[in-house]
Amino acid sequence: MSSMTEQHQPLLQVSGLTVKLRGFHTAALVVDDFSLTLERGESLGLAGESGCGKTTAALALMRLLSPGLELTRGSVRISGEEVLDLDEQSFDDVRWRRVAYVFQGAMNALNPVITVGDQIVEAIHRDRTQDMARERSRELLESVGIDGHRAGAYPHQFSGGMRQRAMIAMALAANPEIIIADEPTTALDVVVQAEILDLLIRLQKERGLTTIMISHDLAAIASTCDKVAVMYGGRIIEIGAVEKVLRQPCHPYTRALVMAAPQSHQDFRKISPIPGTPPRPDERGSGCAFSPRCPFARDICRAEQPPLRMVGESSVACHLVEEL
Amino acid sequence: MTPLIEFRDISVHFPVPRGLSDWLHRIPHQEICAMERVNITVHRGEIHAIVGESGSGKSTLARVATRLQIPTQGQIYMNGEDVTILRSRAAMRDYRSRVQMIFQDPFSSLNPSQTIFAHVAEPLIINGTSGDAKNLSDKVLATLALAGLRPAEIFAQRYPDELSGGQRQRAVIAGALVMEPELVIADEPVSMLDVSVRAEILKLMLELRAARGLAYIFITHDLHLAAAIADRVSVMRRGRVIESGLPSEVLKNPTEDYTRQLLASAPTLDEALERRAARNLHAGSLSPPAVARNVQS
Repeated sequence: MSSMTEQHQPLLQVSGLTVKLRGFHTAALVVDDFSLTLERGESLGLAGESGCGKTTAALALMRLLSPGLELTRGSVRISGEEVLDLDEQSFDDVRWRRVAYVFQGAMNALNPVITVGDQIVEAIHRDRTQDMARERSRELLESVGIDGHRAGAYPHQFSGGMRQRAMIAMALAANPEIIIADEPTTALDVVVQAEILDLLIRLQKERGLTTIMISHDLAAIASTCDKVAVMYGGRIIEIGAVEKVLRQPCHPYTRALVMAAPQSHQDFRKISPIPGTPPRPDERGSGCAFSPRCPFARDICRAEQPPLRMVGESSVACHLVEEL
Repeated sequence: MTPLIEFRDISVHFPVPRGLSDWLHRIPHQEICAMERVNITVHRGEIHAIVGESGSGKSTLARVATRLQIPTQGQIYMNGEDVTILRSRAAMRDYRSRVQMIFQDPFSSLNPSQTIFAHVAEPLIINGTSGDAKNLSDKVLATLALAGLRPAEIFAQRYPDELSGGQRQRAVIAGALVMEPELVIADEPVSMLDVSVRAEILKLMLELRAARGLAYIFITHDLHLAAAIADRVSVMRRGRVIESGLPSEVLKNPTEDYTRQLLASAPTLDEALERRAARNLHAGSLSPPAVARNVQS
């Protein structure tokens, strides 16, 4: 290693990120050993059912966990620099400036009593005069497809899609390298959903942004992302290129998710739901978290947690992957 | 055969509020047309899907069908009887017990301080059809079991926050079913649920149709979903029905551009993957697209 003087550093390298619920005696892990690597300009979709830890993992990256949650271990490196060790003040230079977050629920994430322009100005504020910041907020709105003159409007004067665009503009305020978008299309109309996804693709290309999109909509991930990570019970259970993972899923859970997603010209009666519900963080046993719902589960699945390992071109956490 | 419910030339207009300056400047009264001469017929046991984007008038239709909105124009017939204007309370009560509604958001349509039992029992008590306590309890538990919340005795005592999203939607469905309606208006019943749970709820709705001969008006913005579950699909835009037909026809040969646009904006997983593959092929010759655009201009 030492012989390589200029070792290649990926833009984002997360390893072993683990978040637990405070106040539980047993290990109630909401996110368990979350690791991934993204190169500059890559886009990753984070998929999985509600409650599987997608949002928590992303918030842990931003050091924005709510007080009931605790980051117990893990490392986040941006261009090789460890950012979890930084003190709160130094981390301010990372949050929004290097990694920005588009929060879930565009309908409610904006302050209703402040104009949209002023809210973006608030996000820019530092190092700029008020006038410069206003000018910049107009530019940002234009860049996401909203007329700059609308900066003086209040959130309720915007449609749902426009509010989501404004949220994205706000995330772009400090020219970040990485954007995490949490369910950016949920609760929006289909036509508007397609527009927001197009906007994200355009921004990725024009600005060379690295994006992480959290979504339970596999079709949305397939349209916008290069890679996909599927989470279950707080762990990544399959990660790889979108074409590979969504066309030939290896993990039984990924298969079930793909089967549950609507396909074109398919009789609905053939769509199969996944029986049962995901386990709560304090109810997971020592084995694979999916084993209670898995049709293929054997003794080893119930006893031992399968590690994430390379299978062909993607990584899969399943004991039986070779046999299935 | 007499249809279960028939909407004939229904229009709903809302007045635009007028301020003092409008009055001073003699700006004429304006109206928003939420529904414009809409004709929809639903037969017994039929699932009729209404598809459209926000503001197309599909929720106004639900409000008209549940008598929360009085149409400006047009008639509603139920089993051949004109029910456009119901003057007596008894007639209204009878209508409302025959037409029930399932709302979109199972997280906000259940009272958090009420048990599931109380939620399902409430319509019976309000309508005075509950009978004695034993009768009420039997009916509620049977309905919960029918909606797939088994064992019903245990689920009945739970509060909404103890249930998953799918279970909550089952409880909401039980609340609609307990009146033994003939028609259920389902307004985006699965859009707030996980993909893995959606199929379960849709299957439940189909089972209930088979068991009870229920008819549904299924409101959704997802044309693929509508086509997968419905017997008939009507596409609405700006308050008008612009296309109506069998799901296979509408999906395969849409006659309106708007329907095509709706289909294109919500690709299914396989379509999204295919489009992606096509885009990557193009990217080989054109990349990066931003540069290509500059060259052209």
